[in-house]
Amino acid sequence: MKHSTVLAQLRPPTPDLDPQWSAQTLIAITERGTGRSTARPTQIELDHMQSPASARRPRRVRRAALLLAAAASVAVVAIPVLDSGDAVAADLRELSQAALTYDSPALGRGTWLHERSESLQRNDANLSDGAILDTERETWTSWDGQILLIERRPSQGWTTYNVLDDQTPASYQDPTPAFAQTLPTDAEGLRAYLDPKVFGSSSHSEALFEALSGLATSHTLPPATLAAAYEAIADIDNVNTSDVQIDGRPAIEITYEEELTSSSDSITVDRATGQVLSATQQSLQSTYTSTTTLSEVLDTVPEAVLNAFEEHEEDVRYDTTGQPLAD
Amino acid sequence: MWQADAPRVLSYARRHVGLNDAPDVVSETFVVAWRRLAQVPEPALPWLIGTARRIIDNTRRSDRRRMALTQRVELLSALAAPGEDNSARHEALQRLAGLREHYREALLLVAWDGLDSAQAAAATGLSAAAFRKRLQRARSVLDGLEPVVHLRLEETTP
Repeated sequence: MKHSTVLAQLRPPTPDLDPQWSAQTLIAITERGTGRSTARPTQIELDHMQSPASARRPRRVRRAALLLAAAASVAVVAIPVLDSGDAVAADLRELSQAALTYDSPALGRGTWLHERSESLQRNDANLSDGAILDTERETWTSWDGQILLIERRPSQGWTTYNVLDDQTPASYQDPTPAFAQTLPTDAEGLRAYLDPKVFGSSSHSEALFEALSGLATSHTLPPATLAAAYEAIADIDNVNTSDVQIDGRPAIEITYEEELTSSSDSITVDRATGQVLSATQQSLQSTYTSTTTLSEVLDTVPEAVLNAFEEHEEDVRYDTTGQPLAD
Repeated sequence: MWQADAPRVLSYARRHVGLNDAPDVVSETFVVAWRRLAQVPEPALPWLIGTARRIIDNTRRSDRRRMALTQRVELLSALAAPGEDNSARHEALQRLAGLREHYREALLLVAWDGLDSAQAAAATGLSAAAFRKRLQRARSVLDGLEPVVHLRLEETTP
């Protein structure tokens, strides 16, 4: 068994607070916090301090998404959320059917998955550093998972060239096209495969959603497996769907909300093709959205691209003139 | 907030400063929260862990205290849940203790503290992409897929 798997199983139990220490500390905190030993918190403040997190529900936020292979900005119109279980299940069945019947280019041994994406991360000004991080990525992924990665940050004018080939075995977290072919092609089988493996989230439901949405977003799944992933998502608690129109094109946003951390993950899926167009992770500290603008299957990596990787060192940032930037 | 989150902040603090000093970190963390109550998000755990992390960093800078590798193994072993396979448990914790601090932190923020990648990225001041890359590298090193080139004593002496 891998050490990282063992590590996940060794998650410490949450310690109990000593009741006496807890009470005394809470009093000391309220006194120290105000800087006046005689000051006492108001009842409202005490209620806020002592109330369980689960009693406070985060505000739901809608986000925009972009169209696969579309140019620049487009108008997004949110349509009221379908939040009944039946409506969510119906939406996911529809996406499952669309994925199953869409005639997508087939990945195979010797082919390369070529993708472009644009991502934007906004860090909260109060809870984080307030930074806005824009990244354009272009990748060529081989059948066995070698990734040629070009990253650009337009706002800062740099570009990097990296080959990701660290021999990490493929998994549901880092699926290669070859690995994706080995996954179960029915919802029950996929769920049975993932249930004992997922870890590292605030809840099992969140971990399952992250795994399934990550697989769908990888664009490596065969049609039947992608269809099964949507059906499996339909069985996860706290999942909602909403209709969005993207430049007149219907899509469905699938969102998982985690109350414990006031965070949400979502993917936006094209109704017609069942393909994931964008993924968003939102927490109190930041919002991160990545939109795929191109996804295609190539027989070979263009020579000009291979030359570019020959000419640039890894982990070095190059400016717009191609000169390396100082650290 | 206290009842719900103090135990988990205590769990985080124990890992970094040991069982004896952890309650002080929890107290300091909630003093900050109390002073900035209007700014504390709901729920507060990711914010509280980020605050505890800064308090611990400041403490370490001020007293230059560092934990030896053997002490780290003992501490992690005391905190971790019992494992069915003792040899696998010991080996995993031994390798974890030998990792560089930023690799160990990335792994445990996710695996033990339950933060997702975006939250852990914000807590560590990294972009989401950079954090995911760090986490991937950390898992690779932990699993022996990359050489442990940093199992050295840089953090063992003042």
